[in-house]
Amino acid sequence: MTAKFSVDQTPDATPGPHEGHVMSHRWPLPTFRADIDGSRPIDLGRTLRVARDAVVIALAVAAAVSVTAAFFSTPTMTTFFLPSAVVLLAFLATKTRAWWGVIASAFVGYWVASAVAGAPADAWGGSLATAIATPLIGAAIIRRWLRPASELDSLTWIGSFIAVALLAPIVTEGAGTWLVGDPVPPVLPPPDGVADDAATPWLVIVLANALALLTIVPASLAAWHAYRRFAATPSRDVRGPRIVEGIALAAACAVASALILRRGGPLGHLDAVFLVAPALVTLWGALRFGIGGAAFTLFVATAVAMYDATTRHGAASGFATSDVVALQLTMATLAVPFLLLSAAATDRRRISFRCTEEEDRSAAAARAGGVYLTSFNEMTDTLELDLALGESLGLSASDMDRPNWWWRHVQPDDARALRAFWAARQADENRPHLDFRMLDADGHVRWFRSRVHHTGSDMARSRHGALVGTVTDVTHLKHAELVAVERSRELAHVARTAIVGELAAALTHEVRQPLTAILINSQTAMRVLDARPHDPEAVREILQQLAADGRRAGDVIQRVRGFARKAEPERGPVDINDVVREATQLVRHDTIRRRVEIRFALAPEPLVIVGDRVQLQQVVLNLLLNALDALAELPADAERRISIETTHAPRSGLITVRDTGPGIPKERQTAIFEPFVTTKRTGLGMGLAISRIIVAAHGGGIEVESEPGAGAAFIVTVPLGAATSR
Amino acid sequence: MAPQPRVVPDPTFWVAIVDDDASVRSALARVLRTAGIGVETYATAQEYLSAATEREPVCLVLDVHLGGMTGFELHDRLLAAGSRASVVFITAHDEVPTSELERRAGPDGYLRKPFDGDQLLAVVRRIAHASTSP
Repeated sequence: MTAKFSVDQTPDATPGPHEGHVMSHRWPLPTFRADIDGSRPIDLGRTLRVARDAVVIALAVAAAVSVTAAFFSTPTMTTFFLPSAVVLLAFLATKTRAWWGVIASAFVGYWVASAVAGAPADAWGGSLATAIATPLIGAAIIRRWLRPASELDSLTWIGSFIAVALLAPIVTEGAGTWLVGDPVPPVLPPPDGVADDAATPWLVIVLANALALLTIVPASLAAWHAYRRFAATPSRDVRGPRIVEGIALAAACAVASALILRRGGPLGHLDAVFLVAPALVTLWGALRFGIGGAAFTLFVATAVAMYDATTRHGAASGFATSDVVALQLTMATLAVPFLLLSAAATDRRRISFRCTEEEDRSAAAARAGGVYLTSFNEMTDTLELDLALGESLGLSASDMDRPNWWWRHVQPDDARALRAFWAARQADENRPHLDFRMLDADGHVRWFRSRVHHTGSDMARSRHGALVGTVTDVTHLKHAELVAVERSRELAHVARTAIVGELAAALTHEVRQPLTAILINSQTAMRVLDARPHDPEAVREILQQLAADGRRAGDVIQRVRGFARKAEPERGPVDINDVVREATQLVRHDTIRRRVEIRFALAPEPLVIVGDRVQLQQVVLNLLLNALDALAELPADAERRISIETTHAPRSGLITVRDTGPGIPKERQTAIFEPFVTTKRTGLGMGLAISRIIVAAHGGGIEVESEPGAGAAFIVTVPLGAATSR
Repeated sequence: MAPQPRVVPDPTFWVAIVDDDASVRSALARVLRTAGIGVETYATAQEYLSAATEREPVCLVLDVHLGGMTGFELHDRLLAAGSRASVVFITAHDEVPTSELERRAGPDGYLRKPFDGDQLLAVVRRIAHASTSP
């Protein structure tokens, strides 16, 4: 099953389910592959196949040319020269190496045709050469530059093709005239009156070739593509209304032809206006059937008009004797704009289809990603939400019938915030998005994140308005966040318990002091009571001291208890200065024991943030313990100092814990915030990692500044005032 | 109840207490005074050093963990200066090694907090008797 016309088809090229000219870039374009690069070895079987194909083509061309010559009366041949288009198509259907076969068969065909028409043999000569050269040049240009990268129905392609169809005859006939002298029309002498002017016969032949090329080649190629599409997917591509419309177009063609051919019309010599009739049909063909439709109707109209003119029948008869060129130019000026129009119409359809396709694709992508479009029209003050969002909530079409249907599904608490967010028109940098809750059809809470984008004033007049945005389903994200918050809360508690473990020695000491005093004082009290005389004043003093020491022990326990408790985080206003004081209190004894000097430089005004007091204490305490450990590495006589500073930055509060320890090398300054990274012999190495989580939950950050040998400073930044996370 | 026996034979016997915790310090002083023993208290090692140059106590009750100079450092200083005072170490910290305490003050010369008045009095009384016996 070798391809008879050597038309290769890429195996994966399947036509789209849509109209052909729309998806033409995916058409199974015949490639007319020219294997002229010589890289392939030539095998005998291949050569034989090519030869056989050439013979078949030669016979086909010869038959076509002969039939053409026989069918039309001889003068018609000169004004609408069909064979050049047929031969060009034969070239296009053939591999380049088989073109000699086409040339030979065309030569035979012309010879047969001239014999049938009874033309004198000496009329041939150079004109026969030009008759073959025209399609050869045209086919070569099309093969080389207009195939297969270009699309048949693009404006660029048809424009280039029109240029080729006009220029190829001009070049060949011009060259023929220059070489041979008098251009002799093939087959027969020109009609009456034409030969009077030396320039006119040349122009008649050029236009005869050009008209044939302009109409037959696009029509045939379009038909070929349509056939290939149909052959690939016969079931999907045949559509009833389309066939009916095609038949109607053919009928209209016939009617227009009849109008042209009508003898003795009511308008007399003005009957030439009926030549406009094909224009209407061509318009139809161009707009509805693309290049194929336009070229087909043009072909019919031109053929009929030429026949009419040369046989002096009807509308075109006025042209016939005096000015065939005028009729040819009329048909050519009809053909060129309509072909361009058909390509433009097809281009437009393709673009509109691609737009629809892109819209479908983005809509599908948006739904798959749970992203929904919103828009806010400032003129009408209405907010539109993608219906797909409602569908994802399980709402029915009737639920979404009313305007602003979705407000009723937004959690009332969040509705006000959402309105305000949109009313703010433009997302400020602190509020790039807003999370809100909606209830789905089953009453479950779903989380959505709204983003807004100001598209600029041009869009303000559009249907959607200037504010567009997205609403993203973030339910799973929120659930993950909740789990993460719970985890970090548990982790923080574990870490606090670990800190209490580290502090155990110091805390034991703190309890033992008042306990010792209590033991001793209680015995002393008994001795005083036993003594004579009684000294009630001394007893009272001792009892007061007992009570004070009891309270003191209780306070220590209370402090530890408060710190290590596993309770829900309590968000509330907290003064950073208080947090620092309380945390320092817990390590007070350690600092004394290790002979570390603590210096405070607290901001004079309260630095109030919204947060969890215990967790913030944990952060400061952790930094203090790290500093103490760092100082323990110093030699005995070195200066041991921790300075704690709180400062008021423009919108945040800063806590700086600075030590005079050995410092942290640059390459470790990032790693220390990772979990399980530690330099200590005891501890999990979770302290800074958890501190960072806690500070991040307060909307802040923690960083380190250190030069080896010059101590280290940890700086905690927390935004003042508002809570930033739930 | 029987009249209290004199705890120390020497009426000039007195005890110096160095502890940075105020309530412990006052409790120690109170129990000794109630027993009829003279007491002087000091909050820091430096305070003791500057005051004790005039006359040296027979017994020195010394907290190991003092702010600034520690109890051990003070003890080293006193030994270097030829002090003959008997030292009773007191400590609230477990990590102070027993070996160190025994090396400095003997097996009965230290008390770990919490301890009661009787324990303190027993140690002080023993020192007082040892100081009066030839």
